[in-house]
Order: sequence, then structure tokens, then C-alpha cells
Amino acid sequence: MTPRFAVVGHPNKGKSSIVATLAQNDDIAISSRSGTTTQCQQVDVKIGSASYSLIDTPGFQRPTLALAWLQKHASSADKRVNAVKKFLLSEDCQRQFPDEIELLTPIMDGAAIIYVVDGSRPYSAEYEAEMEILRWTGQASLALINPIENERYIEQWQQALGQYFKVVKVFNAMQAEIEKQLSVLQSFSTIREDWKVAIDNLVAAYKTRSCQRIEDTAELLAALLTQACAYQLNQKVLTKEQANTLRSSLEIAYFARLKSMEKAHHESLKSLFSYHHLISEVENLPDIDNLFDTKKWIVWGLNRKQLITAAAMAGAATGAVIDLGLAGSSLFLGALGGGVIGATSAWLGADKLADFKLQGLPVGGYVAQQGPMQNKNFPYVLLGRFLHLEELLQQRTHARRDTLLISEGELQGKISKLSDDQQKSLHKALDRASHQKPVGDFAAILKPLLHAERARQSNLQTQ
Amino acid sequence: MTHPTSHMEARITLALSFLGLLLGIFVSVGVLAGDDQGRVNLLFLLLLFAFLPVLSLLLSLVLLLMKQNGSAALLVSLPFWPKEFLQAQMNIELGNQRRSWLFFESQVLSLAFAAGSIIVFIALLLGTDVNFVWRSTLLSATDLLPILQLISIPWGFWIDAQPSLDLLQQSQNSRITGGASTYSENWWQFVLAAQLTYNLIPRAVLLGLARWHYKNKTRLSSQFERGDTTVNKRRLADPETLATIVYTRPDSYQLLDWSNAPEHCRRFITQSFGKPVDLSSLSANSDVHSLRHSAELISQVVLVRSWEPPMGELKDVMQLLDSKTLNFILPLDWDGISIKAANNTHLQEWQRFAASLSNSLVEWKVLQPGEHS
Repeated sequence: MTPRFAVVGHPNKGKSSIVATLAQNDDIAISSRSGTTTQCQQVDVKIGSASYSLIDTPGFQRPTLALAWLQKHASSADKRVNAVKKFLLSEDCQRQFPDEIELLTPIMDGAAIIYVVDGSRPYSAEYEAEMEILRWTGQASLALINPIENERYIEQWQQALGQYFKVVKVFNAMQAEIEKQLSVLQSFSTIREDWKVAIDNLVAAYKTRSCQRIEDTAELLAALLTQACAYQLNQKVLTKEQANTLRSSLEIAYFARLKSMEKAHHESLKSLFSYHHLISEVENLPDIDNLFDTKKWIVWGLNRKQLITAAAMAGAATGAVIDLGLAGSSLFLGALGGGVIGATSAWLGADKLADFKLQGLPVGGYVAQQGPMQNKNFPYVLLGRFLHLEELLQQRTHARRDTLLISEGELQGKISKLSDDQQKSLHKALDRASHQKPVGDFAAILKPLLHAERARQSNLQTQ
Repeated sequence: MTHPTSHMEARITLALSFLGLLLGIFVSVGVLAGDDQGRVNLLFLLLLFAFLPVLSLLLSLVLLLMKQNGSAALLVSLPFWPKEFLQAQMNIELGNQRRSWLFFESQVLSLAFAAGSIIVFIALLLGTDVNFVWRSTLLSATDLLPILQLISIPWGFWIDAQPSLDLLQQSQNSRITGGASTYSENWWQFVLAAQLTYNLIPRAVLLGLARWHYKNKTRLSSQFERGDTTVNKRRLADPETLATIVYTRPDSYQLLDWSNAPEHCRRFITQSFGKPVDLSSLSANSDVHSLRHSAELISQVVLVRSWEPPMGELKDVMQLLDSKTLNFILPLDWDGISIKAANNTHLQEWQRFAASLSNSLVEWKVLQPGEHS
């Protein structure tokens, strides 16, 4: 049996936002105008083999008179459900109370009730008619207090709602993290026993999807770093003069392609988090207007000192492999030498970008080559920007419609949270990528840096 | 239009097929060439055509389960490749399908190797007389027979390709005793069946599965990027006209309180707009006609909570007011002790509502306290 939930309440109290957040779908229309939803909209959520439906409903418009009608048609509690059924079938009511008919229909069809109120505004008695009507339906229900602007009246609401609903939860549609979202669904497994198995399956499916998303994000990041670091643009030309004329346009095309490569991966990341309409402004930051201005790279990547340390660690890790091969007879000169070489090359190459090369062809003519990127900080910059976007997406809900503003990231802070071995592996992997060498299981090395993975590990530790 | 990535993928697949085929041919020629008398050691053949393929198949499956990339990944990470080739394969925009693609390419390589081996074997059977023998210092024909019978279980229906003690004894060769085989060419069916069963067919099946998995992942990924969704998008309401906001106090007015406002709110209204001629509560159950003031020319001011959106039952009541003069909706925002300026979004909501109530006979405006209030 597929669980169905009707999200109901006063107009403009965040019902559509709750649906968008719970369904993790930014296709749901959300408007600051009241009365936008005039008909029920069912959103079918499918995660793996588990599924459930959320029904966005129009707000109550005439609850006082609708309740008066119901009271007139039910003399005792046992007749209330039938009175609601009569209400739905009455032609007069269909004319007089179109919104109430629309929102009560899925409920009387078996959907559980999620009643939404705004916790930033005071409770008032006019809500009682709505809650009373919902109680008359006899369906499983819970109330969500959505603090739209602030949390000032939450307690007042809790006291009032507690008299009508068994479960009352505070749920901020703009901030609710996945655990909070799952707890709403889980509450119904105690209210509706027949849905317990289905809801348990749903929760398990959500958790599996979260783990898969972490894997996919790491793979995507690895693909971006590998491709961007290895990217080279070639153009066949007849003469050296022709090559020199082409040079600047080749350079422009090369950098444009790198930017679009990064943007495409950012878009894929948004899709991975089910954001299909989210606009982000990473490129338009006033101080990061140019991805290829090396002076500004320290904001996203590493500063010169951090970069040299990272290069030394990567060089030392490579040199240590030689030491291991020689069973220590090299007196650890491999690690020492590798570290020094790495640090020096990072120092010298901190401001270097991509090389332009011209190579003769055996059959005549030349091939002009732009790239690959030489700068050691380049993979760190890509990494920093990607991780920052991932963190913001992780902390966002699908109810938000504002532009995603990406400000400064703290890459070094994220790297320093890794263990020494993880840091060494990361620096070595990025060093290999920047030398266009394949990195074995790159995604696994990058995974501990992801915000979602850190949150998952922290949850596991708490449990 | 074909994506450039598809071209590069096709070229890499072709290169790996060619490499696998060559490897298969060279290794098989090496083993099947035999010794100076053309004798081929059956046990070496079994090692090459049955044990190694099974081992490699198991390794492939283990790597897949461990989420490793397979032999193609190991191959492309070898240092002897030209830099251009490495860059080309890394430039392929595989995104998170890279692992599936590498696993698929690993199967291409293995299948090509199996095909190369079988081609050589059949070519040698056609072009020369292959003399199969086996040698062992420790094993006798009776020891070996159960192993070969176990291997040949899958092609039990093919009688001619089954091993027998007689055949084993006849083909045993010993350099110590100088024993020679007489029926040794009869092994070819057994060897061919082993190649097909343990090498070619499983690899072909795995290749089919790997291809399906890779294509499926690519399709899912492109759907993801396109943002396919089954949810219907709702059209937002068309722009509506907004009623005017006025700050001028009406000369004389009747205050109809829909909001059940607290006392400090009513005091504020009196301070801002003067004392109302009449003050009445308004609700969905009100008898609107009894509320109509005797002096028909005075304005009616309906007090509402600015943060609560206008509802149908308020609209029903206001339409019944039926006044012939200018009327006002007064949205106010307050908390326990003070009055606050109404939020712009809320005000616009009330402006739209007031405009929807106005007609040629009645005009509704939104009233707000001015700066002097």
C-alpha cells in the first residue's frame, strides 16, 4: 500500500514549500501570493522500489461556514465521517465551498493529513474551524509548525495544536535537513500501523540514496579534476606564422572550454541533488570574476604557503615509494628529495598557467597545442569551488527559490579535517592529476572531503 | 549528430579489441607451436584456455564488487602509453559512468583475447596436425581423469569431447620412458569445448551485461542532466491589478473588526484616524445587514491582520456590505504590545484583494497609517 499524505492548512502558510522539501523536488510551484493552488496537485515520490505520494491542496477559504454545515448534519460523533462524505457529495456545498471540497476529497479517499501552520505568527481561534473539520474526517494526522519568519509563537501553537493532533512537529521548510524530513514520515508509521512496512522501506531507501549520492558526487568530482587537468586543445596549422596568429584565439577557446567544463559538472552536481531550476552565481562573484586570475586563486584553492606544503607532501609520498622499493637502503633520501622537488616546483610554478606549444608534423605543417594546465593550484581551485557548491546544496531544501550565492570556500579548513594519510593521498592524487597521470580510485580519495560524507560519518559516530 | 566522446570511445574500444586479439594470437601461437616434434602439452593448454580465463573472470567479478575498475583501468595506467593517448582517454566526458565504461572495456579486451586464441587454435587444426600429449612427474592418468571429467561437465551432451581413461593413457608422454601417443589428435574437441565454455561464452555474456549497464547508466545520467520530471508545473496566476494605498484619514468612518484586534490596536487606530463613529466585530457568521450604519454616506473600514491572507469567507461578507461610498481595508501588523508596519508582500496581497472587490459602484482602497501616525 502506497502511503499518501495531503498537506493542508490556511492559505499561504507554506504548504507548497513543505511538499517541495519533502518530495525534494524544485519543480513544485511556490508563490508568495495566496490562492495560487486552486486544485490538488499530487506529487509521486519514488526512491528505488519505495514510493509515496504528497498532495498539495488549496487552502481553507470558508472553514467557519463549512463546519457549521457539518454540525447541522451530524448530531453525534459517530455520524461525523458520514457528514463529511455528504458534504463532498452535496451540490450546494460544491458550489459554496469549492476549496474545502477539493482539499477534503483526497483525505476522504484515504490520504493522511499533514496540517501546516506558521509558527512566526500568533495562534488565533479562527484556525479552530479548520482543525475541527480535519478531526471530523477521522484520518491519521499530524501538525507541522513552519516558522516562516521566526520561532516566536511556536509554544503557543504547540499548546493549541496538541488538542487536535497526536503529533506536532516544528518543521522549517527552508532548512529541514534529511533526518528531520524522514522523521515526519516516520511519525506516520506509529499513527497508521498498516503503513509501517512501507514507511520503513521508504526511510531505508532514502538512506541508500543518500549513500549513493555521496559516491556519485565523488565520481563526478574525480571526473572534473581528471578531465580539466588533462584538457589540451590542438589545432593543425601550415606555418609557424599561422600558429602565432591563432595563439590568442586558441587560448581564449581553451579557457572558455575549461570554464564550461566546470560549469557542466556543477550543473550535474545540482541535478544529482535534484535541483533542476536552481541558478547559482559562482562565476559572478566580484572578486572571483576570472577563473584564470592566479592571484585570486587563493580564495578557492590554497595560498602559496599551503600549496608548497601540499606539493612537498605529495613529493615525499612519491619518494617514499622509492624508499620502500629499496627497503630503506636509500636512507629515506627518496622521501626527502621528493618533498624538496615538489615544494620547489610548486614555488616556481605558482603563477604559471597553461603552456602554448608548437610541434612539427612528419607529413608537413604543425600542430599548435594549448594546455594542459600547468599550475599546481588549479586542481585545488576546482576542488574548492566544487566542494563549496556541494556543501551549499547539502544544506539547502527544495522549497527555496532564491539564487545560490557562492561566497568564499575554506578548502584548507576542509583538508585539515582529514587524517594525515588521507591528506597525503589527496595531495598525491591532485599532483598526479595535474601531471595528467591516471589516479587509482580517485573518487575514494576525494570522498572524505564531501560535506555529506562528513555529516554521515558524524551521524554514525553519534549513533 | 554523434558526440565527439562517442568517437573517442569507439576508437578506444577498437584499439583494445585489436590489442586483445593480437595478445590472444601471440600467446596461442606460442603455446600451440609445441616442441620440436610438434607436440603440444595438454596441461598447458588447459591452464591457458580454462584455468586462467576462469581465474580472470572471477577477478573481474571481484573487482566489480569491490568497485574497482578492472583490467582496462590497469592497462591504461601502465607507463608505456603515449601521453596523447592518456589525455585522450581522460578527456572523455564520462562523468560518473567512468567505472562502468572501464569495466566494459575490460570485457572487450578479454573477449578479443579469447577470440584471438580460438582463431589460432582452429587455424592450426585446419592447417597442421596438432599432436596433444601430457606429461607429469606426480600425476597418473587415473589421477587426472576426475579433474578432466569435472571440467567437461558443462558439455556433457558432446560425447566426442569427453575425456576417457583410454585417451589419457594413450596420450601420456614421458621423456624418461619414451612413451608416445597414438590417439592424441582426438583431444581437439575437448580443448575447443573448454575454450568456448570457460573463455569465449562467459566473456561474451559479461560483455553484453557490461554494455547494458554502461548504456543504462549513460541514459540515466543524461536524463538527470536534462532534469526529466513527471511533475506537472503549475502556472502562476497572471498579474492582477492592485488597489491604491491611501494614508488620508476618512472624515467619518465605521470600523468593522474582522481581526478580533487587541485593545492597544484599537487605541492606535483612534490615534491615527480619529475615533470611529461606530465599532463592530465582523465575522463569517455576522448579520451584515444589521451592521449597516444608519448614516449611509460614512465610509466603512474593515480591520484585518496583515499577515493572514484574505480568505473566501471575508470576501463573501465584504461583498454583502454593499456600501455606495468609498471603503477601506486596513491591514495592520501587531504583536503583544506594539503596532508594526505591514510587510510589503502582505500589503500587495491586500491590494489585490481590494481590487478584486471593487466595481463600478463600490471602490475599495487599502488604508495605512501615515508617517505622522
